[in-house]
Amino acid sequence: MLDIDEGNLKQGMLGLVIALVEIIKDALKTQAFKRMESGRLSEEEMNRLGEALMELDIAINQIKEEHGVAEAVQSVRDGLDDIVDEVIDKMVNPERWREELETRNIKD
Amino acid sequence: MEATRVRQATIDDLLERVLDKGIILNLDLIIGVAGIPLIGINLRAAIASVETMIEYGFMQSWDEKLRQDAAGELRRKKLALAPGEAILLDMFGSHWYSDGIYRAWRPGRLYLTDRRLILYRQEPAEVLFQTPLAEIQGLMVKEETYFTGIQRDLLYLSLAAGEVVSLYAEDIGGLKSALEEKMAAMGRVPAGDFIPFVRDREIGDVIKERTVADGKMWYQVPSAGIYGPTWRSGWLYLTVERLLWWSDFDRRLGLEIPLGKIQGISLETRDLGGFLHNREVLTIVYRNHQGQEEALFSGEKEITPQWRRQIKEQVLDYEGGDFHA
Repeated sequence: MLDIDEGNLKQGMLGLVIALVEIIKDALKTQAFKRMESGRLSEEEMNRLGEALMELDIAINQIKEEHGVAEAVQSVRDGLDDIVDEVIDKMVNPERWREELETRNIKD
Repeated sequence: MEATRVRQATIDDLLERVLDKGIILNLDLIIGVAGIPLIGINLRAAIASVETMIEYGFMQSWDEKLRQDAAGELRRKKLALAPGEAILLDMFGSHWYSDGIYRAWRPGRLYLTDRRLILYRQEPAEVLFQTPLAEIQGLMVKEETYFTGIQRDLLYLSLAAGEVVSLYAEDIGGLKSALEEKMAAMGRVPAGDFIPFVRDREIGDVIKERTVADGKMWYQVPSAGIYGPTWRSGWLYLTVERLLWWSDFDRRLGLEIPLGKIQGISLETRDLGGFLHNREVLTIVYRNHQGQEEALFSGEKEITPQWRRQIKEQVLDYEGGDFHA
């Protein structure tokens, strides 16, 4: 839930931006592990990659601490996760739509 | 018992799955106006992780070429060291950079060599900060608290040019002891107790002498041009030589009174206009080139008398003043 006013505009915007950066970073990290496992990279390349990712981690955490947006970032990520979960759940189980409709009808 | 969250799918999972399997987009699009097709777009896109691409026989030679180029580039972009200069420590670090409105921590790799302390960023390549060890006058590690309550150690260096630098390093203790050791080997003892200015790093360039007290204070900025006198929030510093008021609004020094020029300090109750009736105001009478001036400060009720006492003590201690108690 993004509720933006004068006081938390920075928190909200920065939180959103950092959350997106973090998601990209996590995706890159997963891919980095995949590449490392593939055995195509040289020892030196793996070290470089690992180091760069670690530094990125530290830098992002530092920004989060400094601006106090850790919570905002987490809430954006939770929100996105929920949306993804819901959409996928509906795509995988179309019966859910009917169930949901039925429960709603019962409530009404 | 604590509530736990059971999730079936997260955005990370989704991205991973998409990149792992790869997706193919096929898009045909015609943009037209008034029913007449004008621009045709035929788009074919494949998005997947490089591992998946290689598996399907794409981009393999490209991948190899890019990695080769990067390795070559890296050799060229290595931090330039003087002949015979050796790296002693190498860690992640960042430097507080402040220039006008651009103020930020700039991260890079911190190198301690036998001659210099360097913060180097590889991409895009730039030396963010460097100082010869011989120019370091003093160093100290101080815990800084963010407004979020998280505490972090920072290393402050005072340099020969009178500059105070704040640095963050991964292993700040290790860096500090290595620096001290290096300086001792050069036959120099670092000056310990200089005061880094955590409130606004720029004021560190202004105040060199010892600070006795500092705190939040409002100051009535005298009228200038079309503006009448206005109360502004800021930070008051009492040093062994001066009384300084740092304007939060302008982010620069708004008032500077040498202790020797202070002639009187009093607490008065004044009507400040608007909603501020009967407020206790700290009045400081001082001499300047125009004759006698009055500086009005206002702060929290409990601390204003403390300020009065402290300033008075400092002024009395200060020799050569013309203070009339």
